[in-house]
Amino acid sequence: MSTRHPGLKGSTRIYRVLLGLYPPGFRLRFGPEMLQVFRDSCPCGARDVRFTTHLAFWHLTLSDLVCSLPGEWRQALIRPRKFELPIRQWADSLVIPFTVLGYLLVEGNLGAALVRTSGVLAWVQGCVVALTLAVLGILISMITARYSRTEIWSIKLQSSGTRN
Amino acid sequence: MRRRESPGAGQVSPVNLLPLTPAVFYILLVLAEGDRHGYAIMQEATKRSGGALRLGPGTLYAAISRLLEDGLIVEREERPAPELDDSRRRYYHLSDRGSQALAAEAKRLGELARQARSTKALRELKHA
Repeated sequence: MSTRHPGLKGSTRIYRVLLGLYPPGFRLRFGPEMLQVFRDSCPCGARDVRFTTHLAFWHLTLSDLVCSLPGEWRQALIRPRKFELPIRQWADSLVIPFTVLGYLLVEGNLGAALVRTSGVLAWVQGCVVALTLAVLGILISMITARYSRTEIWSIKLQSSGTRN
Repeated sequence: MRRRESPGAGQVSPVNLLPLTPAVFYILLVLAEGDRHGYAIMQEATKRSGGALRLGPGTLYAAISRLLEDGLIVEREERPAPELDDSRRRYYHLSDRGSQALAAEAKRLGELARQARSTKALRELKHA
C-alpha cells in the first residue's frame, strides 16, 4: 500500500494527531507501531472500497481509541510502566487543565473575582495569570521530556516500505 | 536467538494473572504459533475468533504493553532477513511464563466448559 495515496495520507495524518491523546510514555514506545498497524489496516489505499467500509473502519478505530485511552492514562498516572517517567505524565496531564483554567480566567469572570478588580486591569491580570500557567505546564513537560531523553510529538514514520 | 527480556518477568506467578481477557488470550494463542508483529497478531486473532474479536491498534498495544510488563511476551531483537525485514515493525515472542499462563487459562476455560456442559439446563437443551 503506497503512502502516496491521498486518502491514506490524510487518514494517517488524522490518526497521528489522535495518537497525541495517549500518555507520552505509551505514545513514544508504541506510537510508530500503532501508526504502522493503522496504515496496514486502513482501506483507503484499496480500490473500489465502499463508503460503508470506510465508515466501519473509522468506527472501529475511534471506538478503540475511546476504549483504550482512559486505561492508558490511569496506568500512566497511577502506576507508570518501566519506560514511563511519572513526573512527565503528571506534567503532561496538567497542560490541558492549565489551559482551561487560563481560558476561564481570561474569558470568564474568575480572574476578576480572584483579584477583586474589574475592567481592563482584571482582564490584563487574567491574561498574565493564564499565560503563566500555560507556559509553566508546557515548560514542565519540555524539561521532563529533555531529562527522559524523549521528544514531544515525535511519532514519525520511517521511509515507506512494503508490507510483510 | 537474542531477546529483550521484560523487566517484569519472574515477579508474579502466571497463574495469578488469570483470568485473561479475550484479547490477551488470543494474542498469546497467536504467538504460541510463532513470532509475529503487531499487524499479523491483529489479523490472526480476528481470523481465529471467527471475526468476533476485532482488535484496534489501541487495544492491541495496550494489551501488548501489559504482556511485556508481566513478562508473558518478549520483544524479539533478532530481525528477519533484510529482504523480508521492515524496520518499522517489532516482533513479539511468547515467553515461558506466557506459555504457562496460556496453558493455565486453556485449562480453566476447559473446566468451565465441562461444568457448563454438565448442567441440567444445557443437557436438556442439547436433547431438544
